[in-house]
Amino acid sequence: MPNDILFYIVFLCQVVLISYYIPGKILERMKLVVEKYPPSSYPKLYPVSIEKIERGQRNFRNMNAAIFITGILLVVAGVFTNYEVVGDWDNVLLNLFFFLQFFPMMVSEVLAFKYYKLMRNANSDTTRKAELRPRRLFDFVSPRLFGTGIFVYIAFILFTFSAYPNQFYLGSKATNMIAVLTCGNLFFTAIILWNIYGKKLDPYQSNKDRNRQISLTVKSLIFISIAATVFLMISIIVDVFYLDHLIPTFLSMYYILLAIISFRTLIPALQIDDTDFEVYKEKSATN
Amino acid sequence: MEIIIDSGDSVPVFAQIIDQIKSAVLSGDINPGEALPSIRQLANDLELNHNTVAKAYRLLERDSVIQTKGYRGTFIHPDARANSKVDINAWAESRLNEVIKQFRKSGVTDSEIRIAFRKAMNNNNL
Repeated sequence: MPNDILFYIVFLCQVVLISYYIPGKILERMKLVVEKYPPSSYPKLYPVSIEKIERGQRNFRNMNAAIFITGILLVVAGVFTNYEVVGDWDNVLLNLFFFLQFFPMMVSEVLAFKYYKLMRNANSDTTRKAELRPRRLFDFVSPRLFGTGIFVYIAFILFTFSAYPNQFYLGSKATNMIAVLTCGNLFFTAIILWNIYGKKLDPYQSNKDRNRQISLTVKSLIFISIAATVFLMISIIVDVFYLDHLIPTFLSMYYILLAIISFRTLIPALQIDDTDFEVYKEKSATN
Repeated sequence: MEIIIDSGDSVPVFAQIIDQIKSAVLSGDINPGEALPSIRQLANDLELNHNTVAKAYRLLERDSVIQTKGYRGTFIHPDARANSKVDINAWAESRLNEVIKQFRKSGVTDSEIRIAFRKAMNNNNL
C-alpha cells in the first residue's frame, strides 16, 4: 500500500506537470507574443491568419485539458478502488499514458515545421546572411557535459554486463538494452548534427537567436540521454534485486525528469525579451 | 563577421562570396589562419546550392586566399592579405584587351576575332 500511495503521488505530479503546467506556460508565451508583437507590426511572423493560430492554440489547450482530466480520473479511480500497481501491464499503461501526454507536443512540433515552411515560402527577400565562422559542437555545449554523457553511456555498458555476466551474446536482455540505448543516442546525435549544420527553419531568425536555440537543443538532448541511461541502470538494479513493484513509480519519476529537463531548457526560449523580433518587421533586412 | 549575398543582384552569387571574403581579409575582419565555415554549412545558411559555394571556395583556393586542410576544414591562407589584392579577372581582361587591340590594328575584323576566340575556347589541347 505505501508503494501505491507513493506511485499515485508521483503519477499525479506527472499528470499536473506534463498536461497542465507546461502546456499552460507554452500557451501563456504564445499569447504574450501575439499581444506584444501583433501581425499589424510584425507581419513576417504570421504567414497564416491570426484566427488559424488561435484555433491551433485552442486545440492544443483542449487536447491537454482532456489528457489532464483523464489522468486525474485515473488517479482518483486507482485510489478509491485501492488498485495495486504491480504488473507489467501497469508499465505498459504508464508508457501509453506518457505517449498520450506527449502527443500534443508532437503535433505542435510537426505544425511548427509546417509553419516555418510557410514563412520560408512567404519570404520574398533575395538577401541572405551567414556567419563567416564554422559552427562546432563545443560552441554549444561544454566538453565537460558532453564528456559526462559519453562517460555515463560507457559506464552503463560496463554496468549492464556486470549485472548480467552471462549475457554477452546477441538477443540477450543486456545486449538488447545496450542496443536500444545506442540507437537512441545515435538518433540524438543525428538531431544535434542536423541542428548545427542543417538549414535554418525560420528564414528571419537572427544568428544570435539561432545559436541560442542550437545550444538549448544540444544540451537538452545530452541531458535526456544521461537521464535515459540512469533510468535504465535503475531498472537493471530493480530487476536484479526483484523490486519490480517499484518500476511504475520509477517510470513515472523518469517521465517527470524528462519533462523537467525539456522544460528547463525550453524556459530561455520562452523568455521573449531575449529574442530579436525586429527581424519580423516588414522593412527589416532578413537573415 | 557576417557575409550578405543578394541572389537578385546581377553579380553572380559565387562572385559575391569571393568578393566579400577577400574584402574581409583586406579589412582585417578575418585573419590568416582563421577557420571558415564548411561548404555545407555556408550553403545551408545562405540557402544556396552546394555547388555555388564549392565554386567560390575553389576559386578562392586557386587564388591562395583560402586553403583546405582535409577533414580539419578550410582556413584563411597565410598570404591571403597579399593574394586578395590580386584580381585575376581584371588581369585576364586587361590581357585580352591588349590582344584584341593588336588584332584590330592588324586588320582582323570583330567577327573573325570572335570565331577565333570560340575555336580557342573549344580547343581541348590548350
